[in-house]
Amino acid sequence: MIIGDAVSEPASSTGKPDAIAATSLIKVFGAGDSAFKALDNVSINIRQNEFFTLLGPSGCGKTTLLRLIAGFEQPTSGTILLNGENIIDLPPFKRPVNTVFQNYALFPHMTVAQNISFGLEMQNRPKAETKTIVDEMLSLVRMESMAGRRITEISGGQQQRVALARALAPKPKLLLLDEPLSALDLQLRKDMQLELKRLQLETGITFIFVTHDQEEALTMSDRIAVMDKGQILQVGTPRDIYDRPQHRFVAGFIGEINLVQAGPSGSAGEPGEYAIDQTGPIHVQEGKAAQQGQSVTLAIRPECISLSLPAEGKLPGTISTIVYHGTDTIYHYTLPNGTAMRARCQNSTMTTLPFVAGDAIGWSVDSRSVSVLEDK
Amino acid sequence: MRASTRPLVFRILLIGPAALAMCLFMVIPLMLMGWISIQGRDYSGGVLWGEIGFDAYTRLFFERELDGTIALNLNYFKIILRSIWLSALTMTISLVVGFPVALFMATRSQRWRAVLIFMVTLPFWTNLLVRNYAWILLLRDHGTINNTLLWLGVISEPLPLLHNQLAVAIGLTYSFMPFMVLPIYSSLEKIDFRLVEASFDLYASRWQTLKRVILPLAFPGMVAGCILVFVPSLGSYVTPELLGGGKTLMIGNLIGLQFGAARNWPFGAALGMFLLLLVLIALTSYARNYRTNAQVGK
Repeated sequence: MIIGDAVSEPASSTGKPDAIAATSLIKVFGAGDSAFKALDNVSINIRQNEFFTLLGPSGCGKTTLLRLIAGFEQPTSGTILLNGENIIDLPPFKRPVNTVFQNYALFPHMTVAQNISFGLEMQNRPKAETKTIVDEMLSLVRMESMAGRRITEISGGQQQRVALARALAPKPKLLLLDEPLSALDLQLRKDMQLELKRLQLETGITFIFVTHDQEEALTMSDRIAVMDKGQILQVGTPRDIYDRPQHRFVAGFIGEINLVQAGPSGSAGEPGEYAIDQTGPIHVQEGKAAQQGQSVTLAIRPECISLSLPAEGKLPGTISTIVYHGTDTIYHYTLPNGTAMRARCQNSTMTTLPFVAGDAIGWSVDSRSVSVLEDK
Repeated sequence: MRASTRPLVFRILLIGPAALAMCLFMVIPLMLMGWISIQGRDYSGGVLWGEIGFDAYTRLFFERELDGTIALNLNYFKIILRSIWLSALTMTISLVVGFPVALFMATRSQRWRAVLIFMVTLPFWTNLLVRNYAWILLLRDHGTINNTLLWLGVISEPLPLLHNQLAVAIGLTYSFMPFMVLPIYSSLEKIDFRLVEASFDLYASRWQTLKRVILPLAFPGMVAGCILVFVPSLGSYVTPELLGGGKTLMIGNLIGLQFGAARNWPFGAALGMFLLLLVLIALTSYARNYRTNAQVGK
């Protein structure tokens, strides 16, 4: 289920400036030999009211980017505009941006309600207004009965909610979330994913969410930026990123995928037509014309492959292992050139495939489900 | 039966040496002091055993006139008050000066912290007496400070820096500062620095962050530091003796005087018991403070 896809993409033509427009951000930690480039020329635009996710493995620079936006770090070079205004020179306490920290960073010497009202008090809001907003936030995160509790007296999931309420209470222009769900167990994490999505829709605040969990990113985001080694590799909707990865890294990081070396089909060099070891052809809908002698990598999702008996027009393969997974079955097979492939077939269909290990098979894939990767 | 008695014997053996030492060097002397404080006074020193009375305690606040009437005498009370005042002053200066030092230390890198802790404890490597003499060299009329100021032309007459309350307060602060810095440092060190970032993120300025986040979390360390400075200051002997001159007597010096020149052992013992009472009051208030603070949050 891809919730993110059900929400229509926020229109960028409203005339409003982007929530965040970052240009040529470079962040270098340390100096000399020990210098580490955490961000390498990153530019990104995040639209108003968007649920935007920065996805990547640890050390890819996603948290650094978040900290630059929050103001905890200064970029080595580059600019950040928030709603069209340059915020580079503002200290964190002057930026209309709030953060939900990875470990929540709730104040241990205050109650739940005191934590939530902290930001409002610091803004010198009137007492009555503060109280109203705190009550509103408590009910928004369903923690009304816990207002007077100490932080040490509530569970991890409840702390998570308080951290959210605390960051949302001052009604920031932008909410930054730094892997806020990573400390929760699986079931709680699933609930909180839906909860976060609900809060984002209800408050209309732009969310920037940092995670290394691709499933989390696909479930919640309007758009995702995949990062690696301090660079943004691809930005797009969850469906874009999943169905049309442009980089080998993006393809491999999100979901399971088969990577196959392929060359131009025969001598024709027809656009979008490739061959694997002279077998084929395999069609690519949006591929560029393969040039003579040039080899490319094709990325094919296991669930997009259909298996059948060997036949004309099908690509050849040999079953090596079959693994039953309940809802579906994974067929491991090898190509004549030795490349290992996986095909995922749903078990709910009536057509149970009658293969056993060692059988020769034929396989095919819809041209829309094949991506041609840039090798990085 | 054997199995259960053996651990008990074992436990007594383990706790024995410490208990014995406490008993010999703490409980018995204390009882002895309490006992002496209610004995008769021997004018040549020592006590007249068996002449039980509370004259020594009455002397704290009253004196017997020649005609036998009892009149209020606040001279000793003044010394006690001065002791409390100087200790409180020492405690306050240590807190105000020590907190930024501790905060600075706690925000350095791990390697720097070890160096800084070493530097804070460095004065302990020298004898207290020697350190107080060093202060005399600095503070006296033609000491380092006055000479420098004279040479610079800032002053034309030496400032009266030695033999007054200020000198005692400086000496005490210098002596007991590490007892303030180290507990505060240890409570600051435990603070998760991300809380400070969270505070900045929620629109708190540096000052508000200090007031609303750092100070409350460092509070247990500050209370501990205050007690650790106040209590030894109250009973200090060497510093007021050397830096205070004759006019700034503190309880410690008064007690010393009774067992020495004044030859009034019962009164000296009574003063000792009174000092103990003051310390107990201070410690009780600390314990109560700590408990309320523990309720406020760890």
